[in-house]
Amino acid sequence: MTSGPARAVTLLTLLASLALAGCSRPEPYSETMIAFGTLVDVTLYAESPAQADEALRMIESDLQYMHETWHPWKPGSLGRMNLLLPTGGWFSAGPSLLPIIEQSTTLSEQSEGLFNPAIGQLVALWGFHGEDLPAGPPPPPDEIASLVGQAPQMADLEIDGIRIRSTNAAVKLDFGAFAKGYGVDRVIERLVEMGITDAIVNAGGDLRAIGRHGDRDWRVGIRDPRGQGVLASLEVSGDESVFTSGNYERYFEWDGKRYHHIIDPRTGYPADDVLSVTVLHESGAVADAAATALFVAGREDWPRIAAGMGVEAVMVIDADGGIALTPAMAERIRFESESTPEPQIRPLP
Amino acid sequence: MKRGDWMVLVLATLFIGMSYAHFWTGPTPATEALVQTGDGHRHHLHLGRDATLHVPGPLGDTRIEVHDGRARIADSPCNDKFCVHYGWLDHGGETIACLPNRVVLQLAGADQDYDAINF
Amino acid sequence: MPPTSLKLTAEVQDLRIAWLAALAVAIHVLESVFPSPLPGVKPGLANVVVVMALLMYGWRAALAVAVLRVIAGSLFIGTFLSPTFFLSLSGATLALCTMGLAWLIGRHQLTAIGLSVAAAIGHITGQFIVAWLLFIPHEAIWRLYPILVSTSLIFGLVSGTMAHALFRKIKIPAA
Repeated sequence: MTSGPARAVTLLTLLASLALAGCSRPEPYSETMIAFGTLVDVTLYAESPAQADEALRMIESDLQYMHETWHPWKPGSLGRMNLLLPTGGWFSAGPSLLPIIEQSTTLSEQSEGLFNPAIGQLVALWGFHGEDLPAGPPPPPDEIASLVGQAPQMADLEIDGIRIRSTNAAVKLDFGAFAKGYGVDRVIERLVEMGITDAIVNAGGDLRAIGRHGDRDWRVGIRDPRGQGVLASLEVSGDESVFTSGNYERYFEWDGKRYHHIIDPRTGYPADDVLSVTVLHESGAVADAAATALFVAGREDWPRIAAGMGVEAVMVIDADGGIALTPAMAERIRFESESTPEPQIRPLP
Repeated sequence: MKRGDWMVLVLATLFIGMSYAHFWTGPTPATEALVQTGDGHRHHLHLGRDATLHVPGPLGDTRIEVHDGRARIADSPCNDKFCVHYGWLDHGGETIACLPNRVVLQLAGADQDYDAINF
Repeated sequence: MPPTSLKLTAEVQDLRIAWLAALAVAIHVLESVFPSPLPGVKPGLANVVVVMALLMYGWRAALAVAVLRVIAGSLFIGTFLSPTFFLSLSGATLALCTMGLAWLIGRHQLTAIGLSVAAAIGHITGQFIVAWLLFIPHEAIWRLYPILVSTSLIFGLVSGTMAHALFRKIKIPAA
């Protein structure tokens, strides 16, 4: 038949192929879904289409569940809680709400109250509490002042086991400022439980990524707040979230002025010193809350708040188009065009 | 090597050269649009052919138009009509959605520089 | 009536084909481990074994090895009747066609080298056609074609040269 050396080569090849027949490379699977009230783009690496499908369906249903549970006024856990809080009496909280209340209370304190989910009434007054955008006009100043005066805070909530009550009748919880971050964190947790190590979950432009995109890091583009193009890019890997709060996401215009959804709890009006804030951090919930708080803080105070909340990589674009970066962000970010103004480096206290 | 081998090699090289010339010249705009509806249906539209597509959603029909290599949501039964005001999509990877009616319109990306856009 | 018995003896020819098929399957499986810019599309290195079967034992053997490699290879990896299987099948089929064409035109002027190159070009083209028709009906995949067919040419040339060298060193009695 065949000679000695040829046979040896053949046998070795056969053995090697036997050994490697078990190897399979995970493939990337992508899907765009409408969930959580927004467009969610998921790319994940799975061993098989079956595993990918299972993961994607899980993500879709989890986000749907969270959206319903945390909706501030539609019938659901949070809707019910918001009806009961003004009574001032003790009642049992929906169990899935307690962790989110606890984490947001901590973040609210760290942000000196600039991130404040207890101002649900103010948010509803402006009309930003639902999926549809309000058409205007802006609410009457005396109603705004009244709500601001009552100063609802997360600290007004008392928790005893699974029971909760509010000592301030003005408290209504609206987690819109950090629900996406919190939701994305839960989704990533579940993916990791399923054994998926490389994925990116982008919920309406805010995202968390784990692992890498095959042989390279995940490349995230950051949109220019003033236009459609990409202003800068970040390479993320390991376990990182990128969240941006901007004045262009949800807003209405009235009489030539733009009113957006990021309300300053101290004034009751949309914060207007800053165009957008981008935060890079491991946790989506922290990044989301910080992006909101720093936006409200404005171009002078944001470094102090960032330090208080424990976020290190921040980019702030102020209302005049000036760009400020923390040193940690300056190391990571890459601007796509030469024409962007020289960014200012602001170290954290 | 025999003469036949050389012939094969020469022909193969010529063929490869032609394939480069054919497939690599010209710009790469997006060539296809993908429409996804809330009930899981996906429609592929070729951007080379002008077309109108009506897709159903919980609020009614959303009308998608393809014209001159671009696509847009021409009309939709939502309140704010952001999707309509966005206008024509013309580069690969661009996405617009009518969230209330659960319709997503995406242009297939030719070269995607970013895995996600943060905004 | 005397009891009838059925005795299956493996003919020498069958053994040879089996050997070659096994080698082809092994190479096919090895190839599946490596990544490809287009999932499922592979350079088709196992074609070189088909070429050897053709040169050593004729067309019947070559066809047998080709079919066996596609079916047994996919059963082995676990992709039988999957998209990968159809890509593999179309690749092997068109490879046989291009080889056949070359053979018909000038079989006496060809060695393993020319046949291997012809097979490689046929293989990648067959895979692309099926990939485009059935799986990614998108013009953009053809931008990868020139690159992949170039690498296929090189692979075909290299494996064909090695096969030719091996072929000359082995004294094979005519089938």
